Amino acid sequence: MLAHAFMRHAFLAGTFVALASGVVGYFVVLRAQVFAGDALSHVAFTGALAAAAAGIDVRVGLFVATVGAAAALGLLGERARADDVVIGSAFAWILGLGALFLSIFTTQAGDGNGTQGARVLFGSIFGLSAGDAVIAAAIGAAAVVATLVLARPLLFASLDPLVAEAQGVPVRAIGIAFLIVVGVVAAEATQAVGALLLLGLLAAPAGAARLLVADPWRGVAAAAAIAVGSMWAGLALSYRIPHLPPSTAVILVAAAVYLGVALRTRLRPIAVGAAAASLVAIALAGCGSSGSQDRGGVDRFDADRAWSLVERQLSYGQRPAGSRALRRLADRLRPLLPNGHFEPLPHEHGLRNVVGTLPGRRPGIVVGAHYDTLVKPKGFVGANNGAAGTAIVIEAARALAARRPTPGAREVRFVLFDGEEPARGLPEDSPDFEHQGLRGSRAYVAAHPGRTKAMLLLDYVGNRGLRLPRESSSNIALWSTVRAAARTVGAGRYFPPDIGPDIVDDHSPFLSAGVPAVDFIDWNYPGHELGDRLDKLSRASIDAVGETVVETALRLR
Amino acid sequence: MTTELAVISVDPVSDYRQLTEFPFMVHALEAGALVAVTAAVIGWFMVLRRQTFAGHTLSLVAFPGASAAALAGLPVAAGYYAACATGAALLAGVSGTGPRSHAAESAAIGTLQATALGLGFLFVSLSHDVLGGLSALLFGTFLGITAGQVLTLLLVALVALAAISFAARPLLFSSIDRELAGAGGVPVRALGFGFLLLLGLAVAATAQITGALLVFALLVTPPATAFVLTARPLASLALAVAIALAVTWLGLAIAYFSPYPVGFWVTSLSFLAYVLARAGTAVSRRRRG
Repeated sequence: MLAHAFMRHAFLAGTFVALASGVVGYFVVLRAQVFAGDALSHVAFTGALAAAAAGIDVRVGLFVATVGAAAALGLLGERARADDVVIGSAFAWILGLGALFLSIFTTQAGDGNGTQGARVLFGSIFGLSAGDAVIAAAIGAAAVVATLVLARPLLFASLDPLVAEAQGVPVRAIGIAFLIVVGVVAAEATQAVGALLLLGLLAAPAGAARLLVADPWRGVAAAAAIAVGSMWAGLALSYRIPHLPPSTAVILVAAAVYLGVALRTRLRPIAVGAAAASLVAIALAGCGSSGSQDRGGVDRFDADRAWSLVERQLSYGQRPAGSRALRRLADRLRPLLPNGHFEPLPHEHGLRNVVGTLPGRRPGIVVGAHYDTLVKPKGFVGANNGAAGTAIVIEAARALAARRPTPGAREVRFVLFDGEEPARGLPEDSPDFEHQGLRGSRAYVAAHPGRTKAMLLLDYVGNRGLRLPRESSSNIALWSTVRAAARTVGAGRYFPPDIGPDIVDDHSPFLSAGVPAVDFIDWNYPGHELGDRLDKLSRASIDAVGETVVETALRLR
Repeated sequence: MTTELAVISVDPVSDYRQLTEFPFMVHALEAGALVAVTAAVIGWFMVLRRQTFAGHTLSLVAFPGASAAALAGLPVAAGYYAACATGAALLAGVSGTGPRSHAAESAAIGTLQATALGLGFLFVSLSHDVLGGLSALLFGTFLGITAGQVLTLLLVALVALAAISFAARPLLFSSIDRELAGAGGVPVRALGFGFLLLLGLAVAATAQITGALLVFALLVTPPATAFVLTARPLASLALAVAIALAVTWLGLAIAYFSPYPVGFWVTSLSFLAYVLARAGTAVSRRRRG
């Protein structure tokens, strides 16, 4: 386990974060300041994401927000413990603000980091570099030393503030200094277990320690030991069970210890429930992991963003070519493509392809999908027949745009075709689909002769149980490049070595013009039925096709 | 970057037409109205009974419930309702066990909350195949609300409102003076348990719009604002409903015309109303005194 550098970093940082949380947490619980910990966890989330949105190091935002809030709480003193209505309202607003920064950050980040919010909320201890880990350990150690220096007067001031004050202990100053240390620890713990779970790391070991031993000094030691033990056990569990996030594992262990201790007290009902829940959760994660497949460690494509793009398209309802809904959607999709622009169809009034370009040598590569939906059945939203392929094209464009192009790289164009479906009725009812449908792709091929060297078309690519054999008319050499790329990114099982039926689709005009083209399509999927909705889709399928398309485009470029 | 978003104009009729152009937005506005009314009425009693902590805990329990349901392939709404009802029953069981030291209780609460959130995160990461996203569960979304969901929300709202109006008088009595109500033959314990269940329903409904972390924006802040403005029970109840409705509809409309999430707008508007009410009453009191 410790052969991996990331595990060594996690253990180094985790040990000191836990040590600091245990020691500081003991005094937090003793002084009944769990509320302050709660406040700091909200502020940590918003501060970190504000920094991310402003393009500053997230840690700067974290420390400024938590230390600032801690100092403010300390200065306000008892008045800061206003009634819970005020606190609840203010906290909800602070979190709402955090959601705003999250959305600003995720929409502006060119290199795509849809998971930053999850990282701040639930930690990312396996993602620490050596430098991060050393800094985290040093700050954790400093917080422990600071607390121990403060410990004696702090204990006195906590247990009997009036007598302490009478004997000349600066009670107020010590309270403020201690809260600032809590702020530092909160920022530290956010990096390890996340803003939402840090309260557990402060409260659970301390709660258990206070139930176990009455003497405060031994209590501090016990809290620190429980915290570090929970951290180690949690990290080890999470390493063994890949589906169990480390922060959840650490909190579950700490909570289990606390509840085990508390079982002997009056807290029995909650204890039994939560202990059972923890066991079920760990077992569940264990079962989940046995069926998992390694993805080969390539992660260039953001499936979360692709998924929300599918949702966004579906929210416009049925979107036939030329409809108001499709035009509004196109207005929103165009800015998402690099150098996105419209190419109106010359013979079809109101129809337009949406085209993005990464410049380079010509002839280049086209990655395409159609973004219109069927005219009937009424209410058809086309989750897989249209929306999934469109989302993957847009996200693949973002993933490729984020990479520095090699000198002499080919041009890549991302084309969302309008009017793939016929203007009336179903494709199978069209006596001449090749001339009544495929309107966008025919117009594109006619407008750009000789500009394309290879074409990848994504049609039914997002369904659960996805299987993509080679569509019969697809170019054999190009398809073997696709399959090799899929194996490289760990998506080989989606591309069985079979041949499927011959399908007339948006790649056909390219083939007719002599351009090698392939069609990614799972023809077993009922793509012309009303049931083509979000619940038929799989994030794993979308991710597998997305990674494969990005890898294929990189190889062809 | 010309027409990324629907563009708001000075013409309210055209704005309204744009807003209701797509069915998803109409569903969101309907669902928002139902949730706002339910949350404000139940929240009004919750604030009166000083049970905001219970509301907070239930909202955190809603998160693992919803993500577990999604993991199991069940409707997310079912997860919200089941988790909140279970949580309410557990809370009712615990709250009768007598006084405990403040320090011990707060450590238990902190641990419980972190465990709930940790479990929710586990379920989300286990089921990344199924879920629409972590941020929708935590911070709310107005996309993808179906007609079926609106119908369920309507039923929940009707049940909750019928139950609360049936029990309103004794509940009010026992909320204001528990001892006296008990002595007067009011079944205080049963009422308390029933109310917690209703609170669970309201939290589950609200979380579907605002997300688990922002439930307070509709459940607590509008009633709290109403209490600041008037002390008369019926007037403040009506005011709470009006504020919650206004905040929800405005928040949804602004979110539709802006690139920022609905959770941010609803919490901001609701908090703004509260701050304005506090500031306004402070000023008027000073003038008089």
